[in-house]
Order: sequence, then structure tokens, then C-alpha cells
Amino acid sequence: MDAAGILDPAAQRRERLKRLAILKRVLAPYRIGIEDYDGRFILSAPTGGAEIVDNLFDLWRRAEAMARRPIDPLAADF
Amino acid sequence: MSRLPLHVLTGFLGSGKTTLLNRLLRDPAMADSAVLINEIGDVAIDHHLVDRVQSEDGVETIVLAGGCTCCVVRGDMVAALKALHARRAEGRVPPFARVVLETTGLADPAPILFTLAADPVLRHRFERGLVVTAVDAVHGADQMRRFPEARRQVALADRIVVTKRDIADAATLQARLAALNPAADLAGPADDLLAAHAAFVADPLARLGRAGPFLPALPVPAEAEHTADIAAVVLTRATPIDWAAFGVWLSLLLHAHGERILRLKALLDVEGWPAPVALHGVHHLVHPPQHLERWPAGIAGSRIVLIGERLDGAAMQSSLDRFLAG
Repeated sequence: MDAAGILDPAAQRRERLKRLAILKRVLAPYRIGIEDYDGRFILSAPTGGAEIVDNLFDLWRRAEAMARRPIDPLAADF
Repeated sequence: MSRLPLHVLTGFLGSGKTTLLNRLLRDPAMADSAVLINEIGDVAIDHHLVDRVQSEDGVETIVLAGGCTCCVVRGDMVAALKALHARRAEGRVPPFARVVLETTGLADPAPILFTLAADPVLRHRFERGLVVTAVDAVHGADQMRRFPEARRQVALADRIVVTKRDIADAATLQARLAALNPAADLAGPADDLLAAHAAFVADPLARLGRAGPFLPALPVPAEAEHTADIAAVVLTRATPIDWAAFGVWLSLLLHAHGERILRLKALLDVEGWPAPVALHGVHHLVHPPQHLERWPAGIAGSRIVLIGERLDGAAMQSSLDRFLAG
């Protein structure tokens, strides 16, 4: 889900960087790193492996596998 | 080529869905429609009303004298839709402006919506219209209590049409429907035919973006069945929402709990946008956001209606607030 198509390219880039900063904050407690890769994401696992994911849906699935525990926004310790 | 709206008409066994469909087929205003039905026996088609019948590749289309096209689905809905569209392109059936897909009485509409959104060919030819659910004023409440399919049909509706209200008092049922799906547009005391017709003929995007159904969303009425497996929760936010943060939160919520979230309908006050953004989703699938022209009168702040199984509204609200506070 993104705002592509309704924002100019500069605004899209700003939005993307803002989203990246939020994702970094969410993934930090799971010791997973994340970088922007031309609109996609590179996830880096605590064990050193890295993976490219295309969207947020895949991102959470892969991040959970890397973290080896659920990432649940409703959990008490989230 | 612009995409054609594809509406889904559903309703439990005996809900009056077929009666509704039969009346729609005879309405001159529906003449430029194509209707996909399950069984030819479902609709009462008089032989003198039939203009021509085509049957090939397992798909039968019947053009009625009034101009409406009927297509019989024999198991494969996707194949039937593609064949119907091809016949329209070849000029073999009238150039219908919309399609109404009738589900079987026991169908869960969610997989149908997924199929339509996932098929690369259909996605380019049809756009999601409305889910209209017929509910029987006499047996509807009992069916919703006993059958999960009946609850899911109501939960996924954009518009609920209460049928047979001439023989039953629909007030209690309407309260239950509003409790189960506060985001749906509940057909008022007007004629059920007119109600469904308005839903089908009106511009679907304008109607989806309509904020009316959000008005009675707070609080969830006391009639809500606390023991029911499906219920609605409403999340609110008084201050404008950061779009990037909300998108991340929603994607994570749907990742972790999407299986249990049947329906999402949100009207959002987004930072930097003077008018609201409408969002619709079914399970993990979220449709592209729609930018509305203006805020409807009497509504301020974001409202997110989630309908699903065993949803913890308080936990969701607190998670959203924490997330947006950074």
C-alpha cells in the first residue's frame, strides 16, 4: 500500500524515506536491518544473511522468518 | 478501455436474493447490465422474453428482449466472466455497462473478491463494484446465528437489503445487522428493489467513497452479540494521520491478523491532505486509496471500521495510538 500515483516524484521519495525510518524503528528490536533499494527493501538478518523484498506484505513475512518469532503489533511487548 | 464495474449479489439460502434478481432483470434501468447466475432455474425467464441464446465452450448466454444479458456460470466463474467479456467485445451480446454476479446461497464472498482481484485478465477488464447482501427479514436473524456463511455475507457487504419486510418486523434485525457491519449501507424503509437498484446503477467509486455508513458507527450498538464469532470494531483518531506510519502499521496488522479481518473500511484524515482518504480491504487485500473531494458534513477525524472474528478493539486502538505517536 503506498501513495504512488498521487504524489510527485520528489514527494514520493520523501514518503519512501519516511517509511524507511519507521520500518527501521519497528525492526530494530528484532535486530533486523533494513535499507531502501530503488523502491524495494533489503532486509539484513541478525545472523548476517540479507534478502530483497518487494513490498510490505513480503517484508513482514520474511522479517518474521529472520527474527524466528512473530511480529505482532497487538502483542504486549511490541 | 475503461473497466466495467462488477457487483456481487449474495445472500443466504432463501434470503430472497433470486426474487430480487428477477425483479432487477425486469427493470428497464438495468437493461445495460449483464447478470451471472448459478442456475438457469434460478431466474424465471419467460420464453417470449428471450431474444437469443448462445451456448459454446460450456458458457451459456441469454439475451433478454429488454436488453439485459444473462450468463449461466457452470462452476468456473472466471471462465464465464472472460467468455462474457469476449462476447461483448465481439458484439455478440449488447455492450453492457456493468456486471452483477450472483453467488450461491452458501458462498463466502471473500474468495470471490480475491479471485477477481488476483486474476490478471479480469483485473484489467473489471473493477470491484459493490457487495450487496440480501437478508431475509423473517429468517435472517436465525440464519446469522446458526451459519457462519450468513454472518460472513453480512460482514462483507457494502449494502444490505432486507427482503420480505412486508411480512416481518425488520427493526430488531436491522439493529443486529448494524452491529455486525456498521460500515454497510443499510437499505432504509424504501422498496428493496429501488435500494439495490440504486446501489448497482450509481457510480460505484462515488458510492464506495460515501461516508454515510460511517455515521452510525459509534458506538457499536448494545444489540451486538458478544458471543458471536464475527463482530465489528471501530478505531478513531482525532488528529491527522501520518500516511507513511499508518501504512506500515496497517500492513503489519494485516500481516499478523489479516486472516481474522474480513473487512476493512476506513475514512482517514491524512496529514497534508485537505480532504479524506477512503480505504477498503478484504482480509490481506487492500484496494488503492481513494481521495475524496471533501469531508462529509458532520464528520471529523479518522474512522477505521474492522469486521472480523474475535477482534480486540481496545488492543488495536492502543496499538494504533502508540504507533502513530512514534
